[in-house]
Amino acid sequence: MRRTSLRGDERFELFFKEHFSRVRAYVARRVSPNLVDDVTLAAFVVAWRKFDTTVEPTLAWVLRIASLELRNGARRERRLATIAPGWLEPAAGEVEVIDVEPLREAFAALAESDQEVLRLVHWDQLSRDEVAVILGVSVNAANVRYHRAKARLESRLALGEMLTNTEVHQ
Amino acid sequence: MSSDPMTLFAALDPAAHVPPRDSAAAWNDLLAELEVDVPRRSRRRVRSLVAASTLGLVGGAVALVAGTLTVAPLSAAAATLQHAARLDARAATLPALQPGQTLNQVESVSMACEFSSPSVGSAPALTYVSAGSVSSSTDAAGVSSVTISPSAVGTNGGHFATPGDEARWVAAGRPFIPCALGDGANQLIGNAANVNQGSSYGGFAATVSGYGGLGYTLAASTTTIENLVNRVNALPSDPAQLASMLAAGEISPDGTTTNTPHACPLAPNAPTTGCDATQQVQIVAQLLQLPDASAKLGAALYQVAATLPGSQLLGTVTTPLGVSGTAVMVPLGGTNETLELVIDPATGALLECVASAGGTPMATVSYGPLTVSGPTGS
Repeated sequence: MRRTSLRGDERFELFFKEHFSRVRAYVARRVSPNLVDDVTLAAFVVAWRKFDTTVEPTLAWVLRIASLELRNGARRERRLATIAPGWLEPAAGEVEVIDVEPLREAFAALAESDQEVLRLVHWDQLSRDEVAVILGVSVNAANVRYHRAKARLESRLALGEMLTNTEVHQ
Repeated sequence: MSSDPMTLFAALDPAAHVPPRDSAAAWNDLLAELEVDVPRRSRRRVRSLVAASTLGLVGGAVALVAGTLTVAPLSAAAATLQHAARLDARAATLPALQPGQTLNQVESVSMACEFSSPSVGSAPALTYVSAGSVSSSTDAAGVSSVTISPSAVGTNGGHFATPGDEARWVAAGRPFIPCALGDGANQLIGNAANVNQGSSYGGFAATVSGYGGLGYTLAASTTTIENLVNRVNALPSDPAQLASMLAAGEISPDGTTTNTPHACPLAPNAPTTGCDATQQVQIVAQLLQLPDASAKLGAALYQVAATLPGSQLLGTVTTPLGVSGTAVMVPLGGTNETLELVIDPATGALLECVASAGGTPMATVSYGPLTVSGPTGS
């Protein structure tokens, strides 16, 4: 049945307030800052339309909706942020003594699918079950994707270090 | 601080740089926006689901790649599309024209689009319904010129979905409206500065949220809309050739073609050649939303659409222009988008095309009765 009014919808309001911050952070990791609030609210608009017909609305469910919003936007508007260099800086006061450039380069060199599963696990802090829902794959497949992506990141890091050392010694 | 790469990676989280926002304030924003949003999103017509179909085993667009469509029982939806293809191909047969003679066709068109721009601000997008006409002229050699003439904003029945949308549009400085295109100088109506300049419209970035079809195509191109339709006419009308070119990455969503296989236009930097099945479906969807300037192309695209898994026959509907037809919904694999085609059961003509995302209509193009005149000339 089509929903006609959001006002007074206490169940959805609770759902919104419980998950808003994490959905917004999820979006913020993937689009430029000026689009974060637009895309986040757009995802919740879609969620609201489907809320009554969804058996168990969860964080993973609304994140999957947000991921589809992002994908649609990227295809049509090319607005999906390839993480801008300025974004991939260490959080203040945490890792300033470590050179993050090799890691940034290794991450940027990964395929988008590898980048995404690493973001979901390490930035969005999601369980494998939740990652599987968002990616639309089985939990086992999500596990395999994650471990392969992690291995590829570490492999690229090691390769980068080896090349750097080679240059130094030449 | 550990130097473990994954711990370090976690610390690079870009969301740490985004100022937090109070969920209660965001909730109020959502309430305020949906106060306007709810009534204008209700569909204008009532339909009933006649039959659901599953063509999943057909292999759909995958078979397109191989150029060998699997023989499988046709669903009601696929059969409807194939019937329309036959009718449309028949309609494409032009009367014999003598040198110097032309055949002229004209039909009214209604285009509804959702759009936004940086100046419009946060969601929801605005909705505008534009009225206009599509006319074509074909000569004895089969060469057509097609012109779409949208009306100026607020004229010929064109209107915003709600007064609130119009107020927000005015307050935002009258930005580009994707479905209320230009005057004779190809100047986008509504703001004298809004000249089509590729991806930038008079200083407004082309942020046309959720809008497929004309807005998307024009946003990616500097072409005039007339040239755009001529491109569509130049596409092959043979389904096998069309499928082959789609698989090889030779057809762009705006109808431009190349003669050699290359990376899919949807992922131009991909290291592989050609479009995968999902990308082909997405391009077909874009082409289907272009004006139905060529009945031959329409027939070929219907045949392609008939092979897509999961299509549904929605029954008889009446478009905003008062024309009734058979509606078929085609899901676009790998996305939450659908394409709904309303087809004249008698002629195969496309009466309406509705692109939706997540069940929400994003762009609607409706075509009125076609008037044919001619041959004219010597």
